[in-house]
Amino acid sequence: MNYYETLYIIHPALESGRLKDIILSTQSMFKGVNIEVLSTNLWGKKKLAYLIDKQQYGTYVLVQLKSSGEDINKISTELEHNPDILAYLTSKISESEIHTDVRTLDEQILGSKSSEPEAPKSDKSTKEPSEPEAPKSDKSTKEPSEPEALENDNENKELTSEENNGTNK
Amino acid sequence: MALTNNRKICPFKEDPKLISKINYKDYKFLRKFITEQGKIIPGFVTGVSSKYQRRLTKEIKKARNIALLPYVNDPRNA
Repeated sequence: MNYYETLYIIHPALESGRLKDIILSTQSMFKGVNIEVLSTNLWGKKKLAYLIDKQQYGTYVLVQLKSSGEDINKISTELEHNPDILAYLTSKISESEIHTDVRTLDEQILGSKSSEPEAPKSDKSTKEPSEPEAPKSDKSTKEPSEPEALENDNENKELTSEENNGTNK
Repeated sequence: MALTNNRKICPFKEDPKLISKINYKDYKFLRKFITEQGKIIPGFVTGVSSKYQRRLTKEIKKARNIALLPYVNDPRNA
């Protein structure tokens, strides 16, 4: 048995009720092909780096799985043909990477629901040229459900200094 | 003839805690290693050793696949 994780993007039009249905139906689909679901982590609604199916936003869900190598291939066709799932990525992980303390799905949906309205607002403020300081503060509020916050920014300033010089000019 | 030592030190060898951050889920950290356009910055510019540059490249490409990082980005539209 190996450990895997699948990160998939759900269509942004789906609200909390439908969102839960989609997550539960994918979980039951995993169980149907002898895949054990270890944890589900809802990242919330995020802006995509590029458009997928003409959608600018998507709800990210990370699922950690325990399965044999043969069974894990079966989920790719299922996820591929699901119209509510925009994209997915399955990768192999080690046993130490498994999340042990995960909140229940309802708690996670409620948490992401309260943070959802912030995302569109922050985007509007970034488009306004009259507020140069707005984007900096928005970055922290934009993705509150981020699993790991960056701590060592100062240590890597040397690396980004070349890029920053270019942008300041 | 003594030449000045301009050789950069690999940030991952300097601080091994950063190695765990080489993961597609930590896409904000990976952003340090791509340009504004979205291109991967070569190791000789950032000083990253070839061992970790190979890992970085793989993880950046995974993050691009799932739309966490852009394949291409036009800074003029930002």
